[in-house]
Amino acid sequence: MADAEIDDDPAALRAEIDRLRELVGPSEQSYADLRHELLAARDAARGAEATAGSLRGQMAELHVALNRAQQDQEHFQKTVFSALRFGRRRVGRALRSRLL
Amino acid sequence: MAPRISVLTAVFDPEREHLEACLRSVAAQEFTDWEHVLVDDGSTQPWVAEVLAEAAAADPRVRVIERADNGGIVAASNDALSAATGEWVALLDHDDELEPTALAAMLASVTDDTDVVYSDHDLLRADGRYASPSYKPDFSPERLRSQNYITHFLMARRELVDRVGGFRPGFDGAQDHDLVLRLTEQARAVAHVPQVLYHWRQSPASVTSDSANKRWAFDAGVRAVADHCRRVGIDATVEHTEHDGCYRVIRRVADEPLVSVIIPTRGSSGRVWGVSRVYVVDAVRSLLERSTYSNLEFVIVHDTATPPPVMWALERLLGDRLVAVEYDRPTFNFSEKMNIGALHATGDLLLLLNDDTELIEPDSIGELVGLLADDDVAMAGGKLLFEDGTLQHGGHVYHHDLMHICFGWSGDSPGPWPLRPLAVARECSGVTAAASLIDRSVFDEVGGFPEALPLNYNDVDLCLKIRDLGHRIVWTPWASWYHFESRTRHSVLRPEEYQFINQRWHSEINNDPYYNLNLAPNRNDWLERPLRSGAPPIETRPNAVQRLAARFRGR
Repeated sequence: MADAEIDDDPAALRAEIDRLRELVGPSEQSYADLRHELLAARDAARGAEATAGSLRGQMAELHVALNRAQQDQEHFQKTVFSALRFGRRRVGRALRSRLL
Repeated sequence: MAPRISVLTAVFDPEREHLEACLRSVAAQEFTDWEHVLVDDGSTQPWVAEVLAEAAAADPRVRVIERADNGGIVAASNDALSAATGEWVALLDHDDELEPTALAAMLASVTDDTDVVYSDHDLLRADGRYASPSYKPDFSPERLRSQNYITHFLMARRELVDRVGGFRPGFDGAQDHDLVLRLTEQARAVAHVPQVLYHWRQSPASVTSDSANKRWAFDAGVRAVADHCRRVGIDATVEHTEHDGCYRVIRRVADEPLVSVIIPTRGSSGRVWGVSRVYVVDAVRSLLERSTYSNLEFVIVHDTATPPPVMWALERLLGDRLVAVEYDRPTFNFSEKMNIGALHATGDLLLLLNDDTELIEPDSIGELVGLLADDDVAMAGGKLLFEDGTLQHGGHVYHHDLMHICFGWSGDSPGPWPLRPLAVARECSGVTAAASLIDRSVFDEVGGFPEALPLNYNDVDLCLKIRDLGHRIVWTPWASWYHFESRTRHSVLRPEEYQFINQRWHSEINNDPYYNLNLAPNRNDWLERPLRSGAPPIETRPNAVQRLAARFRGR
């Protein structure tokens, strides 16, 4: 890497430009094309990320609905089971009292 | 002796069974010291007068006033207000219903200086089921400007309602929003009862059911909020947003005060959208290129190990606006870095900003500065999005855990219905330090960030200290940044840091005033506790079981 200090001397600056052009290649246009391609690729990646993000966001919202249903179901089952247990105990007690 | 509560109802051609249900719900109140003032606003259906007359004959507490012609909801409500004799007035629509405990619960929440009380409500569907409960925050003035989240059930001291002039003509459709704004401007205290005490009937002509029918109501809402801003000295314009019933208050920032942007960095690089970037350079560049706010100073607190080209790039970008502060401690301490940055800042406003951010909304800083113009707002934060556009930060919620609201939701989502917290500017318990603006004097007053918390929860502690002084913290969707924090990377959580927060703020992190007791703990998405959602497929089953269990118990 060249010295990152920036020289104020115009001749040195022109030399630096020449050196950079050498690095870019024979056609100055190729650098612009490369940059254009890079930005287009970035935009495509960004669009794809946004699409994926939109789907992820929808999934996050659907998870809330799923969790709502799950927790309601769990709560409901607990209530049912406790009611059934309660009923079973009463029936058992009644049967035992008759048998005894 | 005058009754304690006057329930006011304007009546105009409701469904017969709905009106009867409304009357029954008042008659069934456990609290008995009430009067029900009904104003028949020129109903065209002859049975309306009959039903009202029967109700009045059956109970002397029911008083009926007949208007000769239809004057509209505002005129009829004002007639009811004029006739009311109670110390308190409560507003009930002609087809809605109250829970039997409604008046008692509202009154029980009143203290000597309470002037306004509201409760949670839900929707009463056409099939008779309750749905979409609105589990509301405690009083949230910025949010009330942004949406009428209070709606029902509202009760206020009659003296205050008289003082503010009752319902105002010209605001039909948003007359309740206009009234509640004027009431809360002058109320000594506003109480919230976190119980569903009001069932708001969903009917085809109602805003609750089809908002497209009532665009005119939202236009009236814009005028109500604009008037409110004028009264309380907020220099702003008001717009109705893409979300029905949600408004944006755009504050004018007259002369831009200096904002010191404090960015801690070690000059890291990474790939975003497939392209390499030096985070801090691109964060600064995005502010310079996109922000409409120009009076900025940049305090870059950089580790000694920061690559020199990064600092050179910042020097080239910022010139004399750069204040570079070297941080030479051997171990990373975010709090200490930010505190050092604040010491070197010269602005009265500090924009706390992570280096892995990129400005999205050009007006973001102006929006945050505008919010801090309110005397008691000390901190404001914006919306942060991951690189895929999902939400990283929509404000903090402290509900048995410390969380970001609706983490991972779509960035353009309004948030959970019906309150849509991501669509409106609103108070919240805290905002992230990754991108937030704070009043420098308050930052100093609370002693800045806690250096005992080097990695996590330092912003939580800062926010709770600020609120402990009585200041408000506001989150706004109208300021936004990308935050390229890794979604999959789990940050190092130190138990001792949570312990620190839990010991210092145990009550606060378990009682978020801007969330609701009826919402499930350890959640950030307004998921209700079990069986409080009104979800149709299973809501009736427990009732059947409970009935069965009750029968067993009764034997």
